[in-house]
Amino acid sequence: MKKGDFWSFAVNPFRRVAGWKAFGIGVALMTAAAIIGAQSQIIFSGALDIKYALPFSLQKSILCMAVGYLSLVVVLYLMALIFARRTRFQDIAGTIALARYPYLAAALVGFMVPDANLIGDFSDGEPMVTAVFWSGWQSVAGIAAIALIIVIAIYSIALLYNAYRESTGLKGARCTVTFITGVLIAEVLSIFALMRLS
Amino acid sequence: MLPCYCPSCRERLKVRSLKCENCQTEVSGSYELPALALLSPEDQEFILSFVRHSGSLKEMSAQLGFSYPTVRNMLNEIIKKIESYEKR
Repeated sequence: MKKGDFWSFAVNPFRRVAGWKAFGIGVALMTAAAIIGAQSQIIFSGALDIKYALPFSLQKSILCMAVGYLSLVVVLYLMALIFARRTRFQDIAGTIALARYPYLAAALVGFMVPDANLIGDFSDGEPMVTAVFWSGWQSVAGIAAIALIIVIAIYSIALLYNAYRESTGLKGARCTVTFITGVLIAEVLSIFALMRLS
Repeated sequence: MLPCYCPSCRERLKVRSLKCENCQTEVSGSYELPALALLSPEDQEFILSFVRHSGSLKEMSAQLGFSYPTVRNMLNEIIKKIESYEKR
């Protein structure tokens, strides 16, 4: 694969892979991310969220990942039905699943975060870290981990946009506006769903 | 590729004459180029491939190495181009 082709594939793999094949790959990677995240204390509690949290169960990790993914699929598929023509459900489901593959990297980054001196809050069932006290190398490792997660989060959103654009065929302002609206709705929906289910 | 637009004013070209290489007969007139001829060679090849695969985008995607929605988007683009040619 040429260098240009590699970057093109990295940013938009959905030109090559979509449908149930993408769904299978995506679900496998999301499951792996949720399992590793439960060990590294990285939780994906929402449509776009990547958070470092107090220790939580594997069931919670998988539930959060599933709710976040499903909220995106439901909302963006509805957007596609209203604003695009002839969008297949398996393309939306598959490309969105595959777009979450960077979460595996985020889960691994969690192991970089020094877990000493964390203060947290378990109210409302959400294992939130409310304060950290790092010193020396811990600060370097912690800040590097945060920077990496931010990069991964931005990359994930770019992938998600390309997934939506490729599977709906929408272009330009219509694609951007419906995507942003859909993602915001999905994020709110996922937060409410997780509050109800916790 | 067959020239379809005037290099000077960008208006659509028409066919003025056609010649038989066998008997040298020349047929003159003013003939509109068909919409398919106005498409790029890549688009024409796509349409030929579409017909060869009996309209199955699934088979085309497997052969071209693109995903199904990508192939469908390519087809939608060609449909828009043809519709714009027919409107003029």
